[in-house]
Amino acid sequence: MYLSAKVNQHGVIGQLLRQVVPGIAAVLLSLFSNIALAEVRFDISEVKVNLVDKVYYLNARVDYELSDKVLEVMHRGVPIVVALDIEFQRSRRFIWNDEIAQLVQRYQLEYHALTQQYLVTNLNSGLQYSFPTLEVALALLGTVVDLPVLDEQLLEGKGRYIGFMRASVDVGELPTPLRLRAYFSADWHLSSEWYSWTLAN
Amino acid sequence: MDIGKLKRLGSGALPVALLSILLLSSLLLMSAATQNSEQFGRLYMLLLLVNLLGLIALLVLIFSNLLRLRRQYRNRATGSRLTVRLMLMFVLLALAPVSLVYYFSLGFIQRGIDSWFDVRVERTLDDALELSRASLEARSRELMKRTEQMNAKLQLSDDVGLPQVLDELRVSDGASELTLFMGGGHVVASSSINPADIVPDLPNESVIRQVRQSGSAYVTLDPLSERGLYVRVVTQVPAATPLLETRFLQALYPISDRVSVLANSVESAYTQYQQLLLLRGPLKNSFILMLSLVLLLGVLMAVWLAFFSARRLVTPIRVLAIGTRAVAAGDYTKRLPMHSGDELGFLVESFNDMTLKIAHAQEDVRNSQHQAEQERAYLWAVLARLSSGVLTLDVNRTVYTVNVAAEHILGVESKACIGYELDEIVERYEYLKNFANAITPHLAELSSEAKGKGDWREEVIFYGATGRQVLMCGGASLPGDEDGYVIVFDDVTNLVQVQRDAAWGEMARRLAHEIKNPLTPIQLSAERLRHKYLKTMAPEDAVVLDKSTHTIVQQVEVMKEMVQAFSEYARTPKLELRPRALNHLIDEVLDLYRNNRFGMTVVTDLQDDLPLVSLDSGRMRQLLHNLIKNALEAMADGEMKIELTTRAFSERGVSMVELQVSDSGPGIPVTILENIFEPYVTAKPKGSGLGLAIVKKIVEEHSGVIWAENSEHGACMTIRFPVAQGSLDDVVPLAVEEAGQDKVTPFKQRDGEKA
Repeated sequence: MYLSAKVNQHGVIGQLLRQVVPGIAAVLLSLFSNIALAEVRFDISEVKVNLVDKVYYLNARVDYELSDKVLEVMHRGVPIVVALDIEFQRSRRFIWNDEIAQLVQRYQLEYHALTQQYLVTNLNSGLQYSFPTLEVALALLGTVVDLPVLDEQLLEGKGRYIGFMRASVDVGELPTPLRLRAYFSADWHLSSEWYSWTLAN
Repeated sequence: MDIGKLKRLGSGALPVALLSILLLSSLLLMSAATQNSEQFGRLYMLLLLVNLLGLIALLVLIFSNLLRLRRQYRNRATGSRLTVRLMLMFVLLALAPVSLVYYFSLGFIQRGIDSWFDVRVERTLDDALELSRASLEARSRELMKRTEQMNAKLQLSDDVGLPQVLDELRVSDGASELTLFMGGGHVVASSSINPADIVPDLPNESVIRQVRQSGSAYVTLDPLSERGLYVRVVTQVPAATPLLETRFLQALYPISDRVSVLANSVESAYTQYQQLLLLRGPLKNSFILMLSLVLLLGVLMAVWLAFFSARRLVTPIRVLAIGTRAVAAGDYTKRLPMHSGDELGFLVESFNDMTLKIAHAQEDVRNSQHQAEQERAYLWAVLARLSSGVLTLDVNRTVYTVNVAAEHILGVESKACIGYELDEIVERYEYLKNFANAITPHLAELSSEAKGKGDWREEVIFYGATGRQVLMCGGASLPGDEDGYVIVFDDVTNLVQVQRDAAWGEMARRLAHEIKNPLTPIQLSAERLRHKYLKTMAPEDAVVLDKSTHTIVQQVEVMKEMVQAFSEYARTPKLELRPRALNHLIDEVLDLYRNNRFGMTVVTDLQDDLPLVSLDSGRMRQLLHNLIKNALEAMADGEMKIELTTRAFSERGVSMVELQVSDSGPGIPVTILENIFEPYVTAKPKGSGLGLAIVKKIVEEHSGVIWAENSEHGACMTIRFPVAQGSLDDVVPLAVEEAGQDKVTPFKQRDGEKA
């Protein structure tokens, strides 16, 4: 009785909105929850940041463990893009942290069928390396050496600065037909957890 | 956004058209994206989302339209049924071909994509790749041997001449780059075909480790994008002395352009095929998704268009239906808006013409009705102010109209008459019986005769509420479809009376004048005769003369008296009407008769608190004297008893005072009862015959009525006076009033004579 009264009051649109919007929200929520439930297969360790000539250089080790699906697609000649998201924040006491720097380092891993080599390309610099085995290629991919990440000038005086880092497979770079499925598949949502460390200043 | 706006948006064509165009363009972009277009590839998800939202918006629009239509259908709104039918037809018309196309397109997509893949093509590509590999491997092995030979030559040279040796070896061997380096990556010497390459391209550590462990050469094909394909050979250069660190030689050999291009071509074809194999399912799905979206968009647009066009089509019909309903309900002022110039527009125009004409006709009818009403009101006003009574009856003798004068004359109320038959009215007002009886034969006559003829006039006499009434009636049948009669009558009672009175008065005056003149000479002559000849005549003659002259004188005296009475009758002194108490006057007059001189008994029954009556006291005394005298004369032979009664009563809303004078005489003969109040009508041997005539005249002067009737023991005169409009305060004491007035004592002489 209450419902029908309400419907009369707000008309058709209101009724529709009340019925349809929750439905859409539920679908979207389930999609995002799928994305949120990305598999944690990458592991970040041995993070070190060195200050040389007023520039911070990042050294780290990332263990990539690709899913079978990703490997299959890669062996079929589709390049896989892996992204390193690095972020620096200034810690503030009562409000949210202040983001002071952010960069994305992207690598492309592909298989060259003719030569049976794995090619790793740094998409930021354009440098390319070839490796005879996947392990070696992943090892190189996972070795971050002296990556300039932050200019000291960006640090405004004393304070507590926190660095964040995460490695993940960039689904957006896949061929279009594959991408739609990849968005909703756990096989493709490979990532590490956010690794954080305090920046000594 | 409020609901009203949304609804307007839903019904407007432009927003939906815009939405459709937007959706269509986004679908086109999506289609481009599916074709592996780099540009739109990144927008794919966004486009998909836009499409989905757009479709949902369309769905919402259609759904709201549908609900609205359903509501209208349930409420049986005008045109909703036709809208539903048209819409269903349009939707069916749109859906059938679209579904057919969709079904076959699905099949074509499946088969079309499947047809790209063939086992033979796949095998051929595999073989081509294998062949390329084999060919390149052969070349690699050859280059490896050559490098090993170089390695042997290098071992012989010392470090000082190394760069030069390397240059020579590189040129002779056809390598693009030669590098001698330590295990840790330290370059000892290097030579490149390109002098700009200062930093040599060293192998990675794993290769060095492998070479060091196996001791044999490492050869590989490197597909570096900026240099193209080349062969990399890494060999270990044995140290000259064990103390020295192991060195490695790397040679990079370019693959000839022709081979490189071919190999790349094979590689890319293979890769593409592999990708296609991989994308087979997703590609199909995304094509089907695209197609479904296009179909959905098409269908939804068709449905919406169906709504739109159905509504557009139905609008003039709906308007017509509403207009027809309005006309049916009597609203002829309704003008329908013109929508189009087509047949429907023509229909609407004709409808408007029709209603206009009907409205004009209606207006004319109303005007004439108004005119008729005005005429009726006019006639009614005239009728109401007529002094003649007008009565109309229908053929069944049912009263149709009664004007004010008729009400007054007949003493009836129009409410009690209109709509009733004459007989019913007579039942209610019995005194109208005479009237009804008088006119009934004429009505019968009228109805039998031709219309317009047979007018009649007749004098009708009846005893109404105000006594005897003389009506001059006239009648005719009414013109018109329905038979009816009109009766016009005038109350001529007073007129007749006045005429009669005037005639009598005139006669009396002349008579008095003519008779009075010779009377005195006659009397004087008689007295003179007597005086002169009585003494001289013989006694017997003297007796005769005495007797005769005495008779002459006496009769002359009587005649004088009579003449006096005539002139009294003719005289009409000015009345002085004032509210007075009737009982006082009666008491005063009766005092004169109570001394038993006349040997009669006077009985009075006077009601106390009698209302006042407008009276002229002198005339009233005369009236009482006349009545009493009349009674006395009537009772001369028998028991003499006279009774006076007064009472107040109310009849038909009129308050009256009644005076009854009854005697114990023989009563009035029936033959003269009708005309007893006329002059010279009398039952008595003596008497002028004017006594009661004067009484009646006085009563009428006082707006009263008088009639005579015979009771069980004698005659009875009844007089009624209307009650004066005033209070007791207005009463003037009799003594004061009459101090300056002549006391009227009629028949004084006669009283005296009798006494």
